[in-house]
Amino acid sequence: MADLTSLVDAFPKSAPDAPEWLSAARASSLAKYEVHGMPTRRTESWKYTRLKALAEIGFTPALDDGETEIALSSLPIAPVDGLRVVVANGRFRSDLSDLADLPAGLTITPLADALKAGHELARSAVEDADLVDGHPFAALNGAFVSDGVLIEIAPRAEIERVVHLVIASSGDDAYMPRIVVAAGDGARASIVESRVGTGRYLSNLAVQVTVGADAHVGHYVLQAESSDAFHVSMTRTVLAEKACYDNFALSWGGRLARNEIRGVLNGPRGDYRVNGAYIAAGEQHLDTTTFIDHAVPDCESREVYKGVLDGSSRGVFQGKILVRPDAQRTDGYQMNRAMLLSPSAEIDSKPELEIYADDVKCSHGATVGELEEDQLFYFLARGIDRGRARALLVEAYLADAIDEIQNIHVREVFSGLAAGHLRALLTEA
Amino acid sequence: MALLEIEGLRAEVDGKEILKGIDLVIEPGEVHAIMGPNGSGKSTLSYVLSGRDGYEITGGSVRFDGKDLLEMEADERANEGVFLAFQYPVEIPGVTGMTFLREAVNAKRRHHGEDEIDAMQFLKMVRSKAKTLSIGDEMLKRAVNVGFSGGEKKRNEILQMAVLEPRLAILDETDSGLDIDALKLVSEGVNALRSEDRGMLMITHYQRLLTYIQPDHVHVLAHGKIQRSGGKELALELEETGYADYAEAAA
Repeated sequence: MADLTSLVDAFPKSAPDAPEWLSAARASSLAKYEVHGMPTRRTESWKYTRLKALAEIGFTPALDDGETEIALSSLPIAPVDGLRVVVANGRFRSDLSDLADLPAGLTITPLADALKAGHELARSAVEDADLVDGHPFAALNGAFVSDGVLIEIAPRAEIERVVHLVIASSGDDAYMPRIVVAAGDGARASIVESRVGTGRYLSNLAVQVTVGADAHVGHYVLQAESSDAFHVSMTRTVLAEKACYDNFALSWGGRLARNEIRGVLNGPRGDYRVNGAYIAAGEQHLDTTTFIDHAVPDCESREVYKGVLDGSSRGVFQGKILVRPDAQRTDGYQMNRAMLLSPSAEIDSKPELEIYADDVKCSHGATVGELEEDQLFYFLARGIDRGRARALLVEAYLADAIDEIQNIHVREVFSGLAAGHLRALLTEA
Repeated sequence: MALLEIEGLRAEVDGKEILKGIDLVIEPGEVHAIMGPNGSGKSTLSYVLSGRDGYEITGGSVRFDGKDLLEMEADERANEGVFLAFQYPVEIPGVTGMTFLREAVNAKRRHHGEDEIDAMQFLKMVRSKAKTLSIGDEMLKRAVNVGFSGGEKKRNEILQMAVLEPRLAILDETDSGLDIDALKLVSEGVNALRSEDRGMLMITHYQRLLTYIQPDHVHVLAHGKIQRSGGKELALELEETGYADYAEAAA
């Protein structure tokens, strides 16, 4: 049975200088984790993703001193033009971050400092029971929360440059960084995350985003973790009235990765967008689990996911939309498509609509397909080899998901990243 | 040396013999037409020559410039200079005409040990060739064949041929689905590509195309074999008599 007992036991449960409220929040998260422990095959929301391989590895606790050398230039970081903020092996790294001359309205604080100072946003994030309730990995993250980053965007501030968070890991430890993003009313910002690393580590990330009224936050994730690594992430976003949140995840890293994204539409006329593309190969297991909570009327949500699976990889897509009784005139759209490039690749797709309001427009669809032989032959007949033909066809297939990215610069960067990755992957053979 | 030398070629699809011993020699500079009724094996011949999967060669040989064509993969054949103009050009959503052409040109250049083409030079070359086929920039920016009319698809095939400059062009039912204006335009495009070192093999059901692109040799294919060969007058004769004479050969 999956078990992380050794990890839990080995982690420092309370830092000597931690404020009392922080120790209490950690203890409460640990208790939440211990109610069920690691998910098993019988845990409905984890039934397609088995953690046996993860449990077999005795992860050691990460006691990184915040000075470990990390060769960022050798990691597959997204080539975005942005302000770089680095969290390495779970620790905020001022020495590697662009903190000088931040634009007005943008504040970046090491989470450890914010916690020590009892910063209100940090405290409410760490004490947020909704993040950890029923989510074992988020609970584990909460049990050991100690560092990460707090990003604040002041009301009405428009941050032109992308904030580029690099979450890097190395070695064979477990890291549990926490990212807290708070965008004030009317603020605008785009955040890119590059989740990267080298080694056979466990990166268990929790990200909390609050989008104020009329604010617009773009949040774009490149998950290019080490191919030996385990990656589990939970992103939870709460939108106020007329807020817009544009999330995109481009995933191809990790031996086993689960990207869970939960969004709560908490004010009328909110616009929640959660899109993505994933490329799995070899023995990889890539899980995308999303939950959209329409809690109030007149909101919109849109979800377009496309995946490509080669080798004997396995993809999981679970997408749930909940429309609560009050959420009249909800407009929800969900589409997930997968393409299998090999007979031994597999996709498990589970769309779920739970609707309690009567005046709603909700649609969802799922398809699984393969490359068409006549298209491949057309390329071959023009001298273009099979690998390149496959890369071009798959790139074209993923394009309409990537086109959902609202930030034009990020869209171009992600589109180039996907093309480059596909060429390297499919033309090697 | 002959450009293409087919000897006793036999091929099956799903265990059914379609080509039952084809002999054909094309010299550089020659245009040959293969005519025949539906189901005679015309399209099979074009696919076997261009290397499509799903056709089992059960006998005979094909030499292209003296090399064993049947030993080559489809993309290698193309890069060696074999070009198939498709009867039904395939739609490639999400890949623009320009990207597709550039990939094809660079594949050929790499195959011959040359550097990839300069982007500006490529654009200029494609534009000038496209112009003579009435293909505008807008069409080149669109996804390959997606939403194209029948005429646009066929013009696009000829553009690819003009850009790739093959040694041997196989034109599979190039006239199908074309109105008279489109047929003229496409034929002019093909005629402009006739040259002393290029061979062409036109596959067609009707004589109509052959009044625009005049062949040096005409062959009648029926029941998997070339039943008769002659000059361009043979095509006119077939227009009169139809393929009825070749029906009994089925027995």
